[in-house]
Amino acid sequence: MQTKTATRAARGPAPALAPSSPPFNIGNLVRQQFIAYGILPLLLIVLIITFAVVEPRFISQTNIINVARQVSFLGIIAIAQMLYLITRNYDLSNGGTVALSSITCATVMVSAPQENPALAILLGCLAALLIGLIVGIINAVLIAVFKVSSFMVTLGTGFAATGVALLFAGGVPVTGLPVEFSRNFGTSLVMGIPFPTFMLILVFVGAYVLLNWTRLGRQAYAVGGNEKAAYQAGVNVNRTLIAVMVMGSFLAALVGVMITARVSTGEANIGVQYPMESIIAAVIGGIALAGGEGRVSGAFMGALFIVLLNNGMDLIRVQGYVQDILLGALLILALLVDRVRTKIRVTAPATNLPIQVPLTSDKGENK
Amino acid sequence: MNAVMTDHPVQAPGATISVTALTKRFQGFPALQDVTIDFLPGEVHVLFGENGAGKSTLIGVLAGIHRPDGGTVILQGQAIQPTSPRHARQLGIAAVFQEPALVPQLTVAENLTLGREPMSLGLVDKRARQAAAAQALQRIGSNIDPAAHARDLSRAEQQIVEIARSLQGEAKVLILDEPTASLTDEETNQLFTVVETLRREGIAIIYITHRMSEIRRIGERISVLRDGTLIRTCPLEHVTDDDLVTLMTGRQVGALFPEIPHRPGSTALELHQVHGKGVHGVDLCVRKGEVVGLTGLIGSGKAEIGRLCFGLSRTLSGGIHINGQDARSGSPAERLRQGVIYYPADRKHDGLIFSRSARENVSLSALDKWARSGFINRRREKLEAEAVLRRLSLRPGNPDALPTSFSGGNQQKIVLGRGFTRPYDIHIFDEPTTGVDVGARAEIYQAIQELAESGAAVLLISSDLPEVVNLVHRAYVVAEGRIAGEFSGSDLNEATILPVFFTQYDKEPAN
Repeated sequence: MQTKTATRAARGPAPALAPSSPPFNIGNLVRQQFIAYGILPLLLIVLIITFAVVEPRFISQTNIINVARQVSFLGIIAIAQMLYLITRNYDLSNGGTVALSSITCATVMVSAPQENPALAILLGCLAALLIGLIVGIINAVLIAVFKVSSFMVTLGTGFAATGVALLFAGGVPVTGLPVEFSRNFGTSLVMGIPFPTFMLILVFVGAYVLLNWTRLGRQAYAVGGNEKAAYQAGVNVNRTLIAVMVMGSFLAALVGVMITARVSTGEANIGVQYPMESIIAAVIGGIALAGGEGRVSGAFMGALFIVLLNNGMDLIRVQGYVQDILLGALLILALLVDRVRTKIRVTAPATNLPIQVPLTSDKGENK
Repeated sequence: MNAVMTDHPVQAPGATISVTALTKRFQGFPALQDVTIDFLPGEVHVLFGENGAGKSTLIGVLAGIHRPDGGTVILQGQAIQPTSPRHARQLGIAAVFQEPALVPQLTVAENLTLGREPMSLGLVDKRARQAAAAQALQRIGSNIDPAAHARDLSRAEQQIVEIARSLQGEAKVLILDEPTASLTDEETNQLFTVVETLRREGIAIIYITHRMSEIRRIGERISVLRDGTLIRTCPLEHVTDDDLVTLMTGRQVGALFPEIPHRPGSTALELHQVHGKGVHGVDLCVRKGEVVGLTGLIGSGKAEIGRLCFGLSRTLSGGIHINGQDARSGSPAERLRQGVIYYPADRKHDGLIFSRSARENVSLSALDKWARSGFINRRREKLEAEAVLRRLSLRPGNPDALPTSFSGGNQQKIVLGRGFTRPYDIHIFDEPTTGVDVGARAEIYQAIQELAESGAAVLLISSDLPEVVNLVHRAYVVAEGRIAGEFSGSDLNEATILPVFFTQYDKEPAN
């Protein structure tokens, strides 16, 4: 071993896993942050400062609570979308899932015996979440087992789910839900934060743990990154795909329940904007459409960005159409910047980053 | 850069293209440092060095892919700075890279004239195109049919078409980056004839290869690079092969192939009359502690046998036994549980997950080892996966980097790492050293040695005959999907084995 290390040291500047020193300065730090998170954190800061200066109401407590509530729905949907995207699939059915979940939830609650509101609420929620599981299973089986393109599958199931919701409710909103439902799950505060935001935090933490600390999460990234290689490395590809996609649709159904509680009505048209908005949020947040990468924090920041942009512009009374134009332009900007980022990340020769801690005593021999 | 440009360019008299004091840094790390080489007309100049030594960066500068940070490129007395591959070609520098980049659906003629189709009356003049293509091919002494589709050509023929394409116009310099990496011996000969024709025409040829045997056959002078610096340029007759390896790696030749003691134990892998796609009635066995070779021509079916053993293709009949247990059906996941691991030949498509770090790539097959009810103990995973990468001397040693940032040899080490995260009984290597430099190659052989000594059974599928002859204890030759011969002891030499490659079973003469 001694001689081996010695010859290694004689060969050149980079023995295995010992830190050589890349030039360290602010530029490199910014660069590393950029490579890790993209341009989004910067955009968020600029956005917040600009709106706060232009319109002080933007940082009022009422507005912050308002934003927190709005971002909860889109945030969860974006995380759900991310679960699909990581496996290299789209979910265009989340809008339909939200709609059908909302209608199911409301209908079941209204039809359940009224003398026991708690039971009615429980049944409603369970039925709605079951819808999420069903949509997820249909999507996942068609995509994973029958290898149909996820774009077409989820477009189809999304349309079908919306159709079922409209048919079910006869095209009108379902009202007359137990007041306790809305009071407890819509407008209440948990530890000072709105209930939906509380749910977002739970989902965020859950998704983070899933993707970074569990076998399933790792395997999902691997399958999305290179399905063939993952299979040969012993990953059960179909099981992974199905598990992750079913979770994604389940979260969409959860949002359906949360919105129903918030507006105290079951509606079939509440999810239309979600497929596109969630993809935009995820992509701005650095989640690759090519699969295999993306962070939960990215999906969340993407959603926050969209919500803040809309909210701020509403406050300073920018027309809705102009908002769409700006959002579209920013999406394209974010994508362009992301290409640069990916290029740097992929083409950069590997260097021993300073964060690398040597585990052996190689250090002394390496100058 | 300007300061350098105003310097009077100096070039050795008679040289076609020269680089002087060339320097290139990536993110502050030097990839080339003060490299000065003259390339002469009518000379095949070999660039030699391990992956990451700077060869690719050097030709990248010449071909207009990289902009140098210092130094000059001089083409026939003129300082030049190619800004794009297109610009380089206009200047007379043609480059052919490892992977042929022809459009498979188009014909040879269409590929050759792509982007500069001869036109008449606003339409493509097909006759002129055919003529131009025929001329381009004739020029390099090739008789490939211009009307053939690119997808129907062999790899060598595709390379030759690439060369013909890059030489259209006035080429003074031809760069060939490992053109024979995926070619058979016969195809290599075909290519060398073309290179020889061009050399006689007075073109300066810059040739990159990892294959020792080729260097002397084709080259006149050699430049050895290591860690971005030029170690030496000299005529080939002035150096021995051992010198070259020493120059390249900076270490003494401790023999590329390790001596692996043969201590065969119980049978680990056994195939009995196995039939599958392209495999006809194969019998073979591999014992514990034994390294067994499986060799033959490309397409002989040897790779398919490896895939069958790992459950990647279906066994139609016959028996596969792993440690005595029946293993005819089952997925790779099941095989891994039974103690078999397979390292695919195509690490890009079948091996690596390019969106995840080196560490995650290594730990993928062993996540259950560190997981308790689905949750990974990341500290242990990190510690053990990094220990594996360190043991395989991953360079540069950054386990958080993406696979794309590593050279071919180091990418291969990442794939091999999977077999070291936990003890497997049977290791199946499919062409483990293609596109891998000598340094990494030695390390891969060392890994195979360690495995065999620890009592694992190793099946080495390889077309590289020296590798098979020098590394294994026993070798099977596969021809047309059948075992054509088994060799061990003194029979295990190239002269005895090679003729068996061409065994024919079918009545019709093989094409």
